[in-house]
Amino acid sequence: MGLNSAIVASFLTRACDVDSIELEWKGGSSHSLHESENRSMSEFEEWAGATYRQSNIEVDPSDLALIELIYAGTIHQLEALDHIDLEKFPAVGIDLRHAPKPS
Amino acid sequence: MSHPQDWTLRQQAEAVRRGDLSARELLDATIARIIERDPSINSTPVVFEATNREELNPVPPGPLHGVPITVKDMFALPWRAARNGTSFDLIPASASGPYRNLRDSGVVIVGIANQHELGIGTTGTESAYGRMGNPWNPVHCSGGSSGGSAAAVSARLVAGSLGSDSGGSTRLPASYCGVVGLKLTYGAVPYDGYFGAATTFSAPGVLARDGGDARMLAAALLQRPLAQQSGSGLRVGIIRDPFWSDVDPEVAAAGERALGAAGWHVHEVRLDHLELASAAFLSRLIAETGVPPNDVLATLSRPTRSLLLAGMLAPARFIPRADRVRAAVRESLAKAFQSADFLCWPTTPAPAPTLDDPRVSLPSGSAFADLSNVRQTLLANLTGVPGISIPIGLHSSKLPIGLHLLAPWGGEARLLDAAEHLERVTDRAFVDLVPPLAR
Repeated sequence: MGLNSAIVASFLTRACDVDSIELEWKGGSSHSLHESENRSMSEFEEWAGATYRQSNIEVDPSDLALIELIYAGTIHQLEALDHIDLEKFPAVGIDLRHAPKPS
Repeated sequence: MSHPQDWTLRQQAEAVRRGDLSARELLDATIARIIERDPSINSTPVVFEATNREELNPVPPGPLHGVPITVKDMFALPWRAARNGTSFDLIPASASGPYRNLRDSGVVIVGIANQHELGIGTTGTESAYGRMGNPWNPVHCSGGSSGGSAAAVSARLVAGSLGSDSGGSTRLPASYCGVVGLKLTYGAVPYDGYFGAATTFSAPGVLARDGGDARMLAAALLQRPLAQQSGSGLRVGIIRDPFWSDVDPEVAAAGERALGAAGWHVHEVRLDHLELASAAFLSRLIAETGVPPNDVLATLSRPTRSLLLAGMLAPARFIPRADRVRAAVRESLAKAFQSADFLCWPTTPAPAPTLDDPRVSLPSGSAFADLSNVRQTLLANLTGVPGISIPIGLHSSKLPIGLHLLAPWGGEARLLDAAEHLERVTDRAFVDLVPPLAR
C-alpha cells in the first residue's frame, strides 16, 4: 500500500544526499532514480524547470533533486491506477453532500 | 480548589453557568496556565489576551458560555487572518463558518493552535511558529497537522480545541497526545473562511479529553444535538491487513484489549478495492492542493515546498481513474456498514516518534510516520465519513496509544457513544491519564 519509506524518510529527516540514495520499492530490487525514470537529472531539471517557468513559479535549483525524488515516488504510487479494470470501476458521479450507498 | 483547566469542558461550562466562576476568572486562569506550561510544547503560539478582554462581554449565552478553547490556524476569525501554519495572512480576518457556529455556543477563543505548515504533515515538525512537542515527552512529536490542538488539550491548557482533518489531522495527533479526536462528516458545517474548503477530503474536527466533552463541542460545531445512546452491544468490523497487522505489537495488543473490555461483537470485514485507496487519495489530494504564491512558497520548509512542487508535475491522467476508485471504495464502505456499526483499528501504527527523527518501527520495517499514519486514517477522508480516535492506554515508551473508529455518514453520535462506553467499562482509566507536563 504505497512506496517504501526510505524515499520520504530521506528528505523529511533532511539527511538527503541525492547522489547516494537509491529508491527501494516495496517488494522490488533497489535501483537508482535515474534508471527508474530512464531520464537523466539534467533532463528532469529542464522539463520541470520549464513547467515551473510556465506557471511563474520560482524554484530554488537546489530543491530540484529532492523534488525529483518525491516525484518519482509519487508516480510509482499513482501508477497503480493505470492498471485498474475500467469495467470494474465504472464512472460514477460522487456527490459529496450525501452518504455513499452500497452497490 | 483545583485549577479550572484541570476540569472537563462540561465542568467549566457548568461552573460559569452557576456563577461559581466568572468567564473572566476562567479566562485569566487559562491564559496564566498557557503562559506557564506551553513553552516546552509550543502548542498555542498566539494568545488573544487583549481581544478577549474586549470581546468577553458580548459572548452569547450558549451551552459553552465563557469556556475558553483554541482554534487551529486554518480558520479565519473576525480579528485574525488564517495563516495555516505559515507567516502569511492567507485568508483575511473574517468570521469563518466553523467559528460562527462555535461563537453561537458561547465559547471564548483564547488563542491560535499551532499546526504543521499548510496542514501537510502528521508530525508537527514544521511550522512558522516552530515545531510542537508532546506533553507526554516534549522531544516527541505532538502529531499533525492539528498538533497544537491535541497538545494543548492533553497538557490541560484548554479543555477543547477546534482542529481539522484532511487525511487524519485531528485523529492522528489525538492518538499521539492521548486525547479524543473526532473528525466530522464531510460538509457538515459551513466551510467559508476555512482552508478545508479547497479540498474534497477535509472536515473540521474537535479535540477534547473525553467523549462527553467531544460530544458537547461537536454538537456546538454542528449546531444540532448529538443524543447519547448506549454504546454497548455494538457490531465492530475489523480489517486485519494492514490496519492491525502492520502496527507495533504493543499497539495492536492494546487495541485488542480495549475491544475485549468493551464487549462489542467483533468480526472481520473485507473492504473491496482498499489496496487502491491510497493512490486514489494521493491523486486527488495533489490535484486539489496546488502551489501557493512565490512569496509563501519561499518561506516554507524544504520538505513541504518540495512536496508541493513535485505534486504539481504529476500527470492529470490519473485523476478520472482516481475518482472511479473513490466511488467504488465509497460503495464498498457503505456495504461494510450494513453488517457493522463501526469499523475499528489502531489510529497510529506506533506511538509518537521523536521530533528529530520522525520514523517509526513497524513489522514491515522502519517507516516515516507520515506514510504509515495516513494509511490508517485516509479512508474517512476519501469517503467523507466521520472518524474518532480514543485513548486506550500507554505504550512501554510511556507514550499514548489510540483506537480508531469509523462510523457511517453522519454517525458522530454513534462514535461518541462508543467512546463513552469504553470510558465506562475501563473506569476512565485512559481518558484520565495525565501527562508528566500536567502533573
